[in-house]
Amino acid sequence: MASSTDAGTLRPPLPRDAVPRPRLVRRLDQVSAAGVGLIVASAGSGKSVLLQQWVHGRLDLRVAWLSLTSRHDDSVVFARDLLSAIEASAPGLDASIVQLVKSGGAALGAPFIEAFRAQLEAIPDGIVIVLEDLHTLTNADLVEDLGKLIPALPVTVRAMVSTRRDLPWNLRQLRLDRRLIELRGADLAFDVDEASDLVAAVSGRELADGQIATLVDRTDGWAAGLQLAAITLQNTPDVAAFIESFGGTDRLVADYLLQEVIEQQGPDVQQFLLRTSVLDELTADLCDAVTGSGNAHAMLGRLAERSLFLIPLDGSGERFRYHHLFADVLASRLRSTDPAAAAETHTAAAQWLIDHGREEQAIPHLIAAGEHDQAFKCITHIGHRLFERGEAATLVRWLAQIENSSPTAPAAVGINLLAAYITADQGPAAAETYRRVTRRTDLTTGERAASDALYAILVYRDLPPDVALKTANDVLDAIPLLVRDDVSDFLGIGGLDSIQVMAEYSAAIARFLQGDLHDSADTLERALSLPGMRYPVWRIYTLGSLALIRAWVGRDTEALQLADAAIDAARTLELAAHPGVTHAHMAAALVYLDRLDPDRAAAHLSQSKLQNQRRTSSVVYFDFQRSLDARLAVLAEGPAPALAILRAPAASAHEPDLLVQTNRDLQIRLLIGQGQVEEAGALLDNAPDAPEPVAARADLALAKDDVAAARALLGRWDPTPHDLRSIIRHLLRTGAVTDAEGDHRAAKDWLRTAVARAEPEQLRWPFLEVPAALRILQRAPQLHSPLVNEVLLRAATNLDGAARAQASLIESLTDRELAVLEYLPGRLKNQEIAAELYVSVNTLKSHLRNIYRKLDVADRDEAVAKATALGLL
Amino acid sequence: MTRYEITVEGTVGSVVVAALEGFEVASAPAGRSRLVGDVVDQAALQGALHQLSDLKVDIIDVHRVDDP
Repeated sequence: MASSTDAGTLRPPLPRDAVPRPRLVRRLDQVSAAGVGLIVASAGSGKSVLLQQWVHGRLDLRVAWLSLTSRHDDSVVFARDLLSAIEASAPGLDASIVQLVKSGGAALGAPFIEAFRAQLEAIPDGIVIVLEDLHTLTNADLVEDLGKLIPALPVTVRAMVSTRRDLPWNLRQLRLDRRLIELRGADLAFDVDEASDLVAAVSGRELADGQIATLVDRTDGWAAGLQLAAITLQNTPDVAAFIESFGGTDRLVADYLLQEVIEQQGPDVQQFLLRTSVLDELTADLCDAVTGSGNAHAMLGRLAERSLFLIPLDGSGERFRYHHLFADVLASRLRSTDPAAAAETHTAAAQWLIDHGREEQAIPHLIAAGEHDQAFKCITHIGHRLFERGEAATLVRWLAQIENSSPTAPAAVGINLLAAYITADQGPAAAETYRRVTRRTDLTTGERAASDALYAILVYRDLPPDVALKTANDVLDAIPLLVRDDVSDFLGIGGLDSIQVMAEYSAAIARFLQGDLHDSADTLERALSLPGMRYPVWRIYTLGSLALIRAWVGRDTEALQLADAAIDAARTLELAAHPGVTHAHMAAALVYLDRLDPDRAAAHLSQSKLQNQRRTSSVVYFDFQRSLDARLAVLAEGPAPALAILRAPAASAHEPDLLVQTNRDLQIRLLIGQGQVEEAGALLDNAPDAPEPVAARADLALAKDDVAAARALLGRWDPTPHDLRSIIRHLLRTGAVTDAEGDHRAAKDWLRTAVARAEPEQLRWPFLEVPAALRILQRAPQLHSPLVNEVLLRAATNLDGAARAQASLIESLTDRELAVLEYLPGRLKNQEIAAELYVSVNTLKSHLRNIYRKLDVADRDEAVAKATALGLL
Repeated sequence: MTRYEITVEGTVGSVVVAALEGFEVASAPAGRSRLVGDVVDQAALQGALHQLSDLKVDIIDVHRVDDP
């Protein structure tokens, strides 16, 4: 697309007949730092040539040049091409930020824009970004995002934009700041001197001033019109007669001149022009393939010589394109004069591209040729490449074109479209396509199974788990009856093996979300040995999800191994950006939260968000991340921010039971720690009976000193043997209740068991949930181990507000001293407090001295103030 | 500046008017709206027409209002 002309700066080659236009180049020079040059003028006005002239005159600037085509309607393709254009002149860019583009290929999204801006700021000496032909974008979301990005570029960056029509951008601020230089059709119009140069360069003839004036007048200075006139003059013996007839006709300039120019060419040139007009990019080989003759190399040379709107795309004269206006006219002429030839040409181009391994470029030609079957076949072969690169919007566009233009399109087209919509994160469109496909009466059982398998995968996008489970089970029931060849492939990743994996996987996730941890892990473990696991993306998903379930039940060592395996596999396959890695990172985050390592947990949590924040309809992921965010906040910031996160509404309409329960347990624990026992109780009253929130109820009973109730609750709670996390949570509460019942020795035994079970997995988090257990551990040096010490140390960021305050003291207050502290804000005198506490006044005074010393205060008032500030009161 | 009149289907609200810089609703005969405004050139007119299509407004008629 561009050639290297000087160190690190890529500029498109300058057309040979370009006429210098210093007055306009100077206007572009006025574009200031953080400024925008906007060229708005109709086709053929000379927008691109002017921009090329400007960048060639400014070798002091880094230039990133992006010529937009309909491909760029996929915002992922846009972002990737823009980044590589910048990389070409400012190496060292982090190209991975393309992963931040919102999934689905519509908008760029704020995360990408933010990261992109940061990348631009890091470029030394700044850069000029040229966006050519912005009008070709029909993706309104993308155009809107660019309208936000471009006026707010870093101060070291300038933008140059060309477009055939005004863009729906708000340019007011740019105008107010005098950061906008706008050139319009009237500015670009050629004056007599410029026109004279142009005509001389193209036609090789000198015309009289009066003749030039007639041309300028008749064409309104339109560059393409003048060029067409000049080409006509190349072969016109009687210049005066031509000027006279052109000046005297009412026929439209473009219509008249294009016909003149095309008909003036010999039959071989005409044929060449018409046939090759359908090509986006002309090379000699490809041209030969579509014309059937072997003279393309010479022909391209002749066209360039005659200025026939052939634009070089590289410096070596091998790749060209026609001026869009010229190509459009030629292509429509070909379609109207010889429709069969138009289709043939597209087919020939497609065939050549396929033979040369360029299927992706062949597909639009096949669609244009009406070769929908072949286009579709190509998509099923190579669709997975686009799937893996995140260019699902392109797949959706192709498949929707095929489905719309052939009423008899086979069901397989719809199934592929369904797969593309899911990949593009367009949940509603996917559900609609599923319904349309499954309404078909000609659907085979294999096609039905493929559609169902895809639909069940929507379990991450708010498809209720019971529906996902039922749909997945339908697929699994059907599989033994299916013949391999009956099952549709989709995007090159479908087929019997894949739908089996997808159905098993969706069923497992649905069960997981319902809280059925044992069956879901079993299913995933079995799925790992299915033949469909040859496809690495399925393997990454399955390993990651299994890791998350393992971590959920406290099997953290294995969880971390599985998560690492998934992350490594993704990295090796260069799929690190794939949403399949999300679960693996969430699992690792949960493990590090268990280990009370907020830094590592935060790193993995943000990695997991990186993979899926652009997939805005994957709401179940957001709910998982919210739950993990709350835990991280507990460790990193304290109970109040964690509570704020937990109180925010869920992203999904059907928040999974699993998360509802986990979040409620944590919220109740935090409320108790904050002393808001009543609010905690209200939360429980609103909780449904099943699954029963036993841990939270027991915590609440303990907080209310209702030991008998707590004991009764624990008796009803019987964690299954595979759920280590529940076992430890149960042991810790049993210890706390036993201690409250007065049997301190037995309590210590319970805690010893809890510590022993937690050690191998380094499970520390569950201890923070039970402050009473922490106090027992504090009192029992014989129970201390590295894990216990770590837990006690980290109590500084405990879930319990008061305990947290305690930990911030150099020496914490004893229970007795805390009891004394409670009386200090009241009106009771020392004697009265002593009486209340059944101690002598002297003992009370010794407690008070200790309290003042530990709080580092002088008297009772100061003690109350300090204790209140710390949250101890 | 050239004055154009664009007739569209339906009653145009503030969103469309705000989006079309320089145009205002001149009148609204039954079920239609007549938008009148000045554009600097054809590219500006094309931009306005595209805006309408992006906003899913059906265009019935476009014509230039010659100076009286």
